[in-house]
Amino acid sequence: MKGFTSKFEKHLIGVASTAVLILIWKLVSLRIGTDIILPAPETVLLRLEALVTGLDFWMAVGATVLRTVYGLALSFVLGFSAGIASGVSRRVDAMLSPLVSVTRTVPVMSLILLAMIWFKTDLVPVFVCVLMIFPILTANVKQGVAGVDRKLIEFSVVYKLSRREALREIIIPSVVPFVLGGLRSSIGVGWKVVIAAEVLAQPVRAIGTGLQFSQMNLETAEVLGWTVMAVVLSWLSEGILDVIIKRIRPEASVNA
Amino acid sequence: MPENSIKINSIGFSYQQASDIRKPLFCKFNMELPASRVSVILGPSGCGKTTLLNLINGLLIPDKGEIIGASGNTSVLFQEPRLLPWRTVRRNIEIVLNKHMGSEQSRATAEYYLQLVGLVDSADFFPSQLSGGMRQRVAIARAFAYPADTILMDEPFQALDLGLKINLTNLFTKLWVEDRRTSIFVTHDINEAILLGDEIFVFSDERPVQIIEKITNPEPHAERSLESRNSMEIEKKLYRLLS
Repeated sequence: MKGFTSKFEKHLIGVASTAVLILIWKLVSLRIGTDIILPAPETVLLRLEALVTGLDFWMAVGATVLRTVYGLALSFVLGFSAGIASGVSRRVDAMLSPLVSVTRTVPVMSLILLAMIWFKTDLVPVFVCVLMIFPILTANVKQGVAGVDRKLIEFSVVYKLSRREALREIIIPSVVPFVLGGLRSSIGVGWKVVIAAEVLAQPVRAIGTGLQFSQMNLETAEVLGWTVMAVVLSWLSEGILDVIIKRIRPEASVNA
Repeated sequence: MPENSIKINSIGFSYQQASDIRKPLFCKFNMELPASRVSVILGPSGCGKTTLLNLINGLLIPDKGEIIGASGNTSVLFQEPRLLPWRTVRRNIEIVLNKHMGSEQSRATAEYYLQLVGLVDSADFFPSQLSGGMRQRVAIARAFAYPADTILMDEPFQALDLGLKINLTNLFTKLWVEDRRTSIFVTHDINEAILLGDEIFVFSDERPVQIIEKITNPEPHAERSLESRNSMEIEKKLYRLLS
């Protein structure tokens, strides 16, 4: 009962603080009095409503979603394999670590600009997303491998499990929570990077292109409308991932 | 001696650490562990019992000498159950069998041993859903299900309370009487040594390790009890040796 109350309370406080933020927004927009600088919340909502009725809007959103999903999926595969390889073998680790530390420190904008020279505009956001996220996941997985219970490894040696069995039965299950945790914490960055790359690379259909176009036309309400959509997408994806993480909890995967 | 006894021939071993300037743990150490019997290694903590087991099961390699007869094929019952937390009880046993038999036979073998340890109803549970004693029973089932000639046990009941300890000791005896594999049981508990051991090797406290006494317990396993005169005599002897 107490848990329910505090959860309910938490929601209530969340709703209240959102309401206060919107109220402040409204007051400031009243004070400024120009839609170009800061449109009122309801103006943004109306603009968003007009946007969502158009097919172009959804095509743009769909394209951005696809890019982000591709980017994250590719990062997942790369990060998982690279992380396991560098966790298991010092040589691979030594080989990969310069690449990881370079991609970690290169400014996002440099990556975007370079990618624009090298790739078609549609691919730029995916490429940048992978380069941003994959080192984070690699580091996470490597940490997971390092944390594998040594006693279980000993067990696998004594009972003569093959390397493959040890990988499948011990190392991968130990690492899965780390990689999912890493994905969970980097998914927001993924959306941001993809949209930033879209703003510069200007693929035909993209939330970033929409943002850029609205900004050039000084349609501030539309800029904010696209932004609201991006935030909603990010929240949704985090929610979906949370559900997946709950499902994949070790004790729940009977014959995985 | 039966042919598959384990012979330890003049082995030397020390942990190679710069900080360890003490004498080697084993130096020209000899021992013969008879086949199809339970040999207990009794000695104070840190005297090298676990190291000896790890030398026999191949986790460690002796610096000198050789160990004949274990052929790198051993089951181990660890101090903790060491089950995979993300696999069911059944899978935990099948995993060690897959290499040695088909999946159908693995399943049947796992089922058979779970029956013996009384956990067939918990076969689809995860280790986290079992009590500590139940988990160690799964580990016992796994050790017996694994097709090894030798079973090594490293104080497997140490962390359990007295009731469970007695329970599991009886369970081990029950399984072992049916299937007399060469077993080596390491402990510092005199009662466990008396209940389980056919041969009790008492290790010294100093380095390198010496066997200070070897006691044979002639009483059949099924008839042993701590109150019998035979047990009391062995107990008295062991107390004298260890104090």
